[in-house]
This record gives sequence, C-alpha cells and structure tokens, in this order.
Amino acid sequence: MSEPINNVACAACGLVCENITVRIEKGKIVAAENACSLCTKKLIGQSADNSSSATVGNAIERAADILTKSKSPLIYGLVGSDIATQRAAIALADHLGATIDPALPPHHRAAIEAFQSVGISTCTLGEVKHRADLVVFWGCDPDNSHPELYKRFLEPLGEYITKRRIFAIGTQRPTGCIDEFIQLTSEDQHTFISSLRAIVASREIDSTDKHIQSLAEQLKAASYSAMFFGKEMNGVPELEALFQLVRQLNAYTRSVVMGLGGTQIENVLTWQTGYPFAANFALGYPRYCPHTFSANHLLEHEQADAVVLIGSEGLEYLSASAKKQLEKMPIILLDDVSQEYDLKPTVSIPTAVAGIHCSGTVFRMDGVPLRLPAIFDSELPTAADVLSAIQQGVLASCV
Amino acid sequence: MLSLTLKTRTTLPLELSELRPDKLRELSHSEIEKIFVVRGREKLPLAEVFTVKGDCWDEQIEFSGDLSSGRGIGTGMTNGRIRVAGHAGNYVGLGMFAGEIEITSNAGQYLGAEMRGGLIRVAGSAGDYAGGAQPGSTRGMTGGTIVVKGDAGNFVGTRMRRGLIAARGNVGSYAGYKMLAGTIVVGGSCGAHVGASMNRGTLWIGQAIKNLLPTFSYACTSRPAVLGMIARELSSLGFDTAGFDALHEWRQYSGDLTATGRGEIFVPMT
Repeated sequence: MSEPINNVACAACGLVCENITVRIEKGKIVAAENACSLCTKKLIGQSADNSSSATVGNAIERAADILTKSKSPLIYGLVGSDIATQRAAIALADHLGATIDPALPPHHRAAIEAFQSVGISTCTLGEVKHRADLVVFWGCDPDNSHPELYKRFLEPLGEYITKRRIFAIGTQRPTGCIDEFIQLTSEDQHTFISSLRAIVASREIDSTDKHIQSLAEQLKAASYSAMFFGKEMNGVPELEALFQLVRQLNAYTRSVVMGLGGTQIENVLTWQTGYPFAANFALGYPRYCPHTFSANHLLEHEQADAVVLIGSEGLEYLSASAKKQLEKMPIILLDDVSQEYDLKPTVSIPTAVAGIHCSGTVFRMDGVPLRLPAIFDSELPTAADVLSAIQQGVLASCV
Repeated sequence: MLSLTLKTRTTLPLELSELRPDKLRELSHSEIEKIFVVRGREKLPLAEVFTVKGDCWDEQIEFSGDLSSGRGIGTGMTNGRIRVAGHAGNYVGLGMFAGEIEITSNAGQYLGAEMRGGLIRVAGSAGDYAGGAQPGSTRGMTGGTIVVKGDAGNFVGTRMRRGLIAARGNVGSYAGYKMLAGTIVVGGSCGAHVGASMNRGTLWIGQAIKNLLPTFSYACTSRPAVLGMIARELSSLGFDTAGFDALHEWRQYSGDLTATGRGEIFVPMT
C-alpha cells in the first residue's frame, strides 16, 4: 500500500471536510479515513483515469455543433463544481444567450429567494461550534444529509459554552442526538412559525400549543441560538417567516439561521450577473425569474431544445415531466467517468473532478471558500477547460 | 387596428414586451413588420413570427394564436388596448401604467405584476402571482384592476400596495401574502395561509376559510357598505358579483399579527 495522502477535502455535502486521509493501491483509492458514508461513496474506487482523454476533441466539436444549432439552450447542474467551472459555464451561457440554472435543492432555492426578500442573520459553522447553546433543526436530518455535522461542530462544545441543547422540528425525529422533538407536517410549518413569531413578539393569539410557548421561552432565554433548516422547509413563505423569527429573536439574544445544503454553487453567478440562479441571457443581458427561467419550467414547457449538463448530480430536483422532456432533446454531459446514470447523453465528455483529479475552490454551505487539493495527477481535462473549448468551437462556427 | 397572428405555434420563449400600442402608434405597417422580437435566443423580424395586418394608429393591437410561451405582452403600456385571442403567456401587463388588456383564454404567471394602473380582464384563469411583485421587488401592483372570470393560482396579490384584484373562481394558497394595501375579491374558496404576513388591505372571500392562521382574530360581524361600491364597480366590468352585496352579514377577521395586524379578511356568515 502506498503512502497515505493527508488533508484531502471532500465536497460530497456542504460541510467540505478537509481532514480526510486516503490510501491508494494500484492507482485507485482503496481506503479513506475520517470519511463519512457520503465521502466514502465519492472517493473509494476513484483513479487518475487518463484513458478517455483522447476522444475529447471530437466530442467538443460535436457539442459546439449542437449548441450552435440550438435556439434555446439550457445549462444545468454544477453540483459540487469549483469556481473555475462556474465561471466558464456562465461565460458560455452569456455567449450563447442561454439560460443557466444551477441544480440547487428546492430548500436551497427557496432560501435564496427568502434571503433576497427579507435578508438573513447567519454565521459560520465555527461560530455555531463555539457559541451556540441552543440548536434547532427544522425539517432536516443532519445525520443523513451531513453526517459529520455532529462530530465536527456540535459534539465538541467549543470555547464559550458548557452545555448545548438540541431541538428538532419536522415530520420525523432525526437519527442524531436530540433533546426535544416537535412533530409537525410540512403544511403546518408556516402556521407554527407564525404562531412562534407572534408569541416572541408578545402578541396574544388563539393558539394553545404548549410546544410553541415553551420553544419561544427557550429561544429567548438562550445566549446564542442557531437554527438549521433542511429539505422539508422548501417553501419561500416558511423560510421568510423563519428568517424573520431569527431577526426578531435578535432583539432579545443572538440568533442565527443556516441551510443544510450542498456547496454554494450560486455565488459566482450572483457576483457576475447579480442573480443566483435561473438567469437568462437571451436578450444579451442577464434576466432573472426563479419560476419561468427555472430548468424545471423550461423543460416542462418544452422551452429548451438542448441541454448542457455539468455533472449528473442534481437531476433528482427535476420533476418527472421535466426529466421525460430531457430524454427527448440533445444532452451534452460533462461528468466524472465513474458516475453511473440513467441518461443517454448525445455527447458525453469525461471531465476531472475538483478535489480528486484537479484542484479547485468551492464555497462551504456557510459561505467560507475552501481549496480542494488534487489527489491524482490526472490528464483528464477540467470541466472549465471543456466549457471554454466548446465556447471557442461555437465562436469558430459563427465565423 | 394592428392584427398579429402567430404563424407557427412555438414552445420556445417568445419575448413580446416591445409590442405596446403606445410604442407602435407612430410606426407604419412596414416599420412594424421590421421590429425585432426574440424567440428563444434568436432575434427575428416581427413579420417572420407573426402575420402582420394593419397598423396601430388607433392604439389597438389584437394577438391571435397560442402565445402560452409568450412573455411580457403589454409590459409598461401607457395607453391603448390589447386583445389576446388565446392563451397570453407569462408577465402580461407587467408594470403597465394605463390602458386595457383583454384575454379571451388563460394567462400565465405574474399577470399584472407591479402594474400601476389600467385594466386587465381574463376570461379564463390566471397563474401564480397575479398582481404580485416580481422576485426581489418590495411592491406588487400599485394601482389598476385585474378581473379574472375563472380561477387564479397561488400568491395572488403578493405585496400589492393598491388596486383591485377579483377572481370569480377559486384561488390557490397564500392569497394576499405580505399585502400592503388594496383589495382582493375571491368568488370561490382560498387555499391555505390566506393573508399570511399581510400589513393592511382587504380580502373578500366568497366561501368559508378552512384554516385561518392563528395570527388572525375575529373582529366583528357587519354589513359593510363599501362592498356595495366594490360590487357595482366589478359589475360594470362584467364580473359576476352574486353573493357580494352589503345586505349579507360578513364576519371580519383582523391580522396578521406577525406584521402590523391591520389587514382585514371578510367571509360571509353561513
């Protein structure tokens, strides 16, 4: 067995753990220490994979040809992608007059809309670790979605606290250590938060729910409360209400809220266009509509005629009818060769994965930028290089 | 009158916001034919997409064909009349100041979003966010009237500041969400979370509300005289006002207490 490679970073979830050690045997990763189930799935079996790089040139030509002929292209995906890939994808969308929509989970999209509308009081995960004496999970199960959250940020009590209480609110009790659980259907979330907001603001309401009263008192009594929300909180009004609750609590104590999602793949699009997702360049400048320019809407209504998929992750966020439509149109897929997928892409281009075959920078779910060092010295082209080459191909065909 | 008939049905997004009666009034027939519209990412002369007949000197435009992939008919119009014989697509009457838009079939999302004046009449149904605010905007419609003979979707009148929205059928959830002022009349039933986070404004709901938010409280039962005035206004616009008269007793609820608590929801006494 070869020497271990330390400080490997993993972008399988939004935590981007950087303390992983991998061991390589016969050119493949065979063991990963400090790795969670998601990370193990992502890393084990990966290799330098230089085999398929020879056919890339033809595939790029074909992709450029498809996009030149397309009248309404869509760029979708980018899950776990690095900054360079996102930059190249936006440049291609701008050049084509396409729509670009990063594949964000529904609760992440809703959170961005709510953030645009009412703002957010948030912090970094380090602050939660060191200061939060009350943590509330809203509609999420961190043990499944972010397995290392407890181990890295909640179980160690940090510098400024001696005790931490953990509440959970949602349809099912999360699997991790929870002090108190309030069961609530997704439909009742807004009513519950509205009642909580009214009680925190000392308004008299007709609610007799003892949980609401007790939670309001504990939130106000905490020195620092941190709320994490997940996939059950996928409505904009629910999240706006939650963000406003947190704002209200800051009149009594410190309180923050954060989404349990993937890496922040909307940041580059936001700083380049002003819009976080569902941006359309058809008029020569970016326009935004989270509904009518979303990949789901465009596909469901047959408003796109070619798709560039940057990674096959994120397809689960598309509706059944959108997926069905996807099967009928040309697909240009840029993905790690080790991925298995049901799609039959028209053009498939193997690309390097940031943090495995090449280095790159991603934003952790709390917005902290982190470097993903490469594990292998691979000859696979990066997605950014391929996207730039496709753009050059489209340019050349216009001459 | 300028008549625009869609030559071939398209599902690709069709940007139509440039086709306003007040903008086209000064142009000749041949000049109108050369105006560019955007289909998908292609910029095409109007005559390539539509059969163009007549001109727009009388500030009247009639669209024919399935424009469900259309976007922005009547955006920012300041005068004139638009008639859409068929589905009208999304963002119809976005930010319009004055004039009239008549739709013989359905309208998509954001009908009359952020409109400041004028009248929109829909013979069919309307999608989500009718009279609402665009994503990121602080205010929805600030004037004018939207009359829908069928149903309307979710988030009707989101953040509306002034004006009147009337839907004869049912509306989806979050009607009057974050409403600042204005009036919404619903002939049928409402989905969940009606009036959530409303500051002011009035909602008249023709049928009993199943789950009113606990942040609303019963205020009084009355025969509000103002309803007669609203009903007369809506009647004159061809809206069926059966059930909306000041002779009935209406229960009034006040809320939302998470906002200022000055909004009103009226439901008829059963």
